[in-house]
Amino acid sequence: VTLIPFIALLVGAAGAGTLTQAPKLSNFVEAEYPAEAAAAGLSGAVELALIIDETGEVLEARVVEPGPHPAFGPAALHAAALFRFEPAEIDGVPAKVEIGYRYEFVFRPAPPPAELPVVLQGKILERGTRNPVVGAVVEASRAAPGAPGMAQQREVLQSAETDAAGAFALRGIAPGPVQIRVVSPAHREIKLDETIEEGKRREVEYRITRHRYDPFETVVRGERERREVAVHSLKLEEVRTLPGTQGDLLKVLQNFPGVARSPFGIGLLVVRGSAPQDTKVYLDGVEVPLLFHFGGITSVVNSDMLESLDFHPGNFGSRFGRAMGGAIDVHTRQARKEGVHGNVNLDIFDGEALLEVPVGDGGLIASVRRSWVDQVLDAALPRIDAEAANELRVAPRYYDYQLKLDHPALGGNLSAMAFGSDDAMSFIQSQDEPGRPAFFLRTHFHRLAAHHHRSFGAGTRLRSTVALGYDGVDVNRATAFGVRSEVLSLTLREAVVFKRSERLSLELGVDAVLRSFGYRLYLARQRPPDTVLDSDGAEGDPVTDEAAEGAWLAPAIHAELSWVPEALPKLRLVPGLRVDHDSRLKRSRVWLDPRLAAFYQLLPGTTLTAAVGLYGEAPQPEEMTQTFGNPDLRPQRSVHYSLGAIQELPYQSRVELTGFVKSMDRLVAETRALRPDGSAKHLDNTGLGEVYGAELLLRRELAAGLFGWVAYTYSNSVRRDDPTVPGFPRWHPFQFDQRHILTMVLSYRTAQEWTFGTRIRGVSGSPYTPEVGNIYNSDSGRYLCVDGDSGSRRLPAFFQADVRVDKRWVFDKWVFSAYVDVQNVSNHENAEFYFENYDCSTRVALPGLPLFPSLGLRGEW
Amino acid sequence: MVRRLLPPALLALALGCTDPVAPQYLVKDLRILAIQAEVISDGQGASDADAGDRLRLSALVANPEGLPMTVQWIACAPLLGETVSPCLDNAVLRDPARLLAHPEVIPLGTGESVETDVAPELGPAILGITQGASCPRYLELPVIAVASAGERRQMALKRVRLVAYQHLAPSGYVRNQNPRLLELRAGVADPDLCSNGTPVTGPISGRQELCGRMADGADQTFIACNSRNQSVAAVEALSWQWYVTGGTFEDLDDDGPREAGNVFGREVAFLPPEGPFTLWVIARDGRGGTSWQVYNVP
Repeated sequence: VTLIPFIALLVGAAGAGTLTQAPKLSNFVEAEYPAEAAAAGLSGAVELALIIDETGEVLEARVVEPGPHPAFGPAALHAAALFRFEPAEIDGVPAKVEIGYRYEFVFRPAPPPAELPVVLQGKILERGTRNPVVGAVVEASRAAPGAPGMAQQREVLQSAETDAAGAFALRGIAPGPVQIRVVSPAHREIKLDETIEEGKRREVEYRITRHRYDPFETVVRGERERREVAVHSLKLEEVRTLPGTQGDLLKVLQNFPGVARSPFGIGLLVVRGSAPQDTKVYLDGVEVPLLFHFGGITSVVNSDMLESLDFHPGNFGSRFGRAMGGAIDVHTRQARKEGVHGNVNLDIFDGEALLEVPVGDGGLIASVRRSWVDQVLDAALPRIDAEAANELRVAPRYYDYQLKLDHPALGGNLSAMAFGSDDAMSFIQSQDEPGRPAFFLRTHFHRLAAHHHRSFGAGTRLRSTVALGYDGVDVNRATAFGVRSEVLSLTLREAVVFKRSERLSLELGVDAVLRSFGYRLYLARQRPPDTVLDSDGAEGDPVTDEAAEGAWLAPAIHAELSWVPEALPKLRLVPGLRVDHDSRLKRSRVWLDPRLAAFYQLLPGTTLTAAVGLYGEAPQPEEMTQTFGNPDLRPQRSVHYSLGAIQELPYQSRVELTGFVKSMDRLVAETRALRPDGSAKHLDNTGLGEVYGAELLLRRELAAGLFGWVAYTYSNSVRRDDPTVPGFPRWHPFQFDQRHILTMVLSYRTAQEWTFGTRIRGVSGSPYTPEVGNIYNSDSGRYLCVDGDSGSRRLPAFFQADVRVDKRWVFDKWVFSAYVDVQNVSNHENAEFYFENYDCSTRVALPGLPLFPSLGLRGEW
Repeated sequence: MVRRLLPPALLALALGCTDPVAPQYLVKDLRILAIQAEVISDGQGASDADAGDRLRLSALVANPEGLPMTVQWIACAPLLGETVSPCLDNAVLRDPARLLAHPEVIPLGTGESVETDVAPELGPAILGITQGASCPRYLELPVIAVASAGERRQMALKRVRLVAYQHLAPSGYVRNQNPRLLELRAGVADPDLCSNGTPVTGPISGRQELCGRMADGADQTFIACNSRNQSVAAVEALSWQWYVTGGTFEDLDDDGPREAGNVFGREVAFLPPEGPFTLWVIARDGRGGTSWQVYNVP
């Protein structure tokens, strides 16, 4: 009798957290083979559903598919109830999950006595990954003599089950040819011919092919309590093959509801009508200043390092702060602990390599990426001769790296991580002064972080993060503009969760950042806003500069309760409070952000949600400079309201509908107001903003190779300027306001390792400010445009369809993939921007991406 | 800040890929091409003015259609502090009639050239910006010329520099002179065309290299403020600009639609049209000094 455990595909559900560790069977109990089934020589599988709690105990087991004999089900249930698992982890902490489990009963003759010699032994490994296959059945058979004219029968001589290392041994088989059959539920069956020789032991290694090379066959069933009314989660394998994303998990964000489309795809995150800088991005709890190289080519973290991300477009919990827009929580994965693995990815922009190795009970994973756009351009463009050339030379270059070590320590799991990114670009023109390019940009950041999480018994969990950071920016545009800044930071995040019962839990946390900064900035004298000379020093104005250094502390404490009232068991309330402080500010240094979310399970599979909360955000550092900004600024505020419904649907699908309203005040806005000494304030907290809209998401989780979503957003985002600006008191559209955003994403994988994907987007045009006249600047010989009403015209609507085909080839020791990704397959011309001609009388559209095919290659082992 | 800087950088990258539009150098109707400010009270031809100086403002106006034309001149208060001047305010400039009627503008007269006095009351303000500064500073006096011919109206802005030059003289301040554009020379490509070329006095036939020849000493050495507000010696970077009513300037850089056909450069390649045309060449010294030459080529 053989029992084959198999953790099978499960049903995903709304609000699922990120499964960072699948449950592992640590104590297997063999079921008694039903005598009637054995007598009949019956084999078969029983599919079970098991609910496993945070300690790894099986809370509940039920039969989903009873198999070919009625006695199999009870026998499997009885054994499964005694199983013991290493608990699953969601977001790094033990959690209750439901899994599918297939108990396979394989009838075999009684094993021969142990003293018989081993005649065939070896290992079963998975092709491509080289992982050992556990629990596979290896069966030796030989043709049995049969009556003439009858189909030939096979006699099973011997069988064995592979152990944790994938090893097996067959004993006591008489010499002669045999057929070996290897059966594993997750793999394709193989049959091979072997010859047993007298007195010899044959050593073999068999490689079997997985049905699908998709590591995320176990999906969480949403057991983590949902704390935000709107959260969209992604897993890498779901999106690796989406068109237009180069397999970049973070670029997929831009296809979610609530996210406006960036012009040229440059990666600005405009979330529910908020400015890009109002959305914060965290990597394992550490804020990162940039998400994409050069604003959009690719993200600053290798997607193969990532496990998942959670995107919160609004009404996020109190553990996130200093943001009025959204929050993006990106999680890295742990290194695999079995064997050495790695991969190499090459595409038209860059190349990246990743290596992971086991280290003791933990693992190390390292990745590095370097662009070759600069090398390509260097080879393709003519060399600049400083004396004679009259060419523009563009030399963009970027790299990033990540290094992560995980290891059990201090009663929990400790991980140390280093990561960083460096972008540099310069435009060099022949007339540039030596040593001073027409444009130079370098942005780089580095982080060194340590994370620890552990549980204290069943009800208390502690997460700790400490990180050191360096951010550097160096930008100059010849003599007209320049900034050089360096920021050192120390981040501390602590969160402790007390879970008293299923109805009540409390999270308390600290989120503090200490920054030390130094900067030097030079810029043409700033003109009042909405004047013809309010641009930077393009007109040759004299420049002024400012340099400063200092330090500031931004600590915060936060608390969040999750409570299910006894009288209303279908209702769950999540009240939270966050208190922030920012020592830079001269006024309103401390602000309180109370937040409340409510979930009501109307029917099984139907959840209603509502939330309201206050979100404060300190001004950007450059907005508070003495010469060019206003050091007296206060924090900006936003109130988020949302109301929604989530409906589970058949076929691993669900639909979410969310309405939202955002009311913003104290927005930092340009002003013509003066300080008492007659100098300009430049900026003030006098801006107002209003956003309302609705989001609809119909999504199918990755199952049976099919995955995708349809997202539609209606949004209306407006602003009101400072009272001193001529446009006041009229409201005007926000710079990136897009009324209708429709995105359809679909990906299908065949069993033959082909993947076909498409993405279709249709988006309303963004507003722009038209030019309504001109005045000739006789000092420069160029016309100055006279602006009309702010945002009073719109670009044409945007449409783009992308397609992608991937093929994966699985070899014995490695896997090779290639893809062709064609963006804008219909070659639709989208106006991304309007330029005025020399006297502002004619507009010239700058088109976006034309039909753009690209090729990528990937090898992994 | 970086997020705000990136889009312009990428746009700049894309600019070179756009198609050119109608060139700026080709003048088909009414245009103001340059404005010169010259202090006439001391006869030195300087462009820097101080309180009490008599100033002549001259506009180089192209009116190829020959329609009856008027030029009205106004000034606004100097750009002192950070107050908004109606001469720079988008909301006012949208309508030239509103600008001319604005209560804060000062009418200076009518004609292609007008004379005015820099109000003595501005003396303390001009001196004030100089005193205490570690390098030479100046005030800007915005002046606008509004040319009208038929239905067409054109505005041009000149920022006249007001400097307490007498106060600064002991510290070595070099008062700015309007550069003197002597003549136009033509010839084949020659590194020293301005010396070796032929002065243009009559018709231009066939493709020619043209050069705007300056008087000796046109590029003055002066004391400037650098970005750290320190005094540094600098040499004026002269620039030239070319306009014609017909013909083609060749070998132009494609710097995007905003710069389409804006012909700068001391030497340019020019293919004249059939028949008569007018050619204007303007020289600027980057410090407010301007001069020009006009050629009516038969």
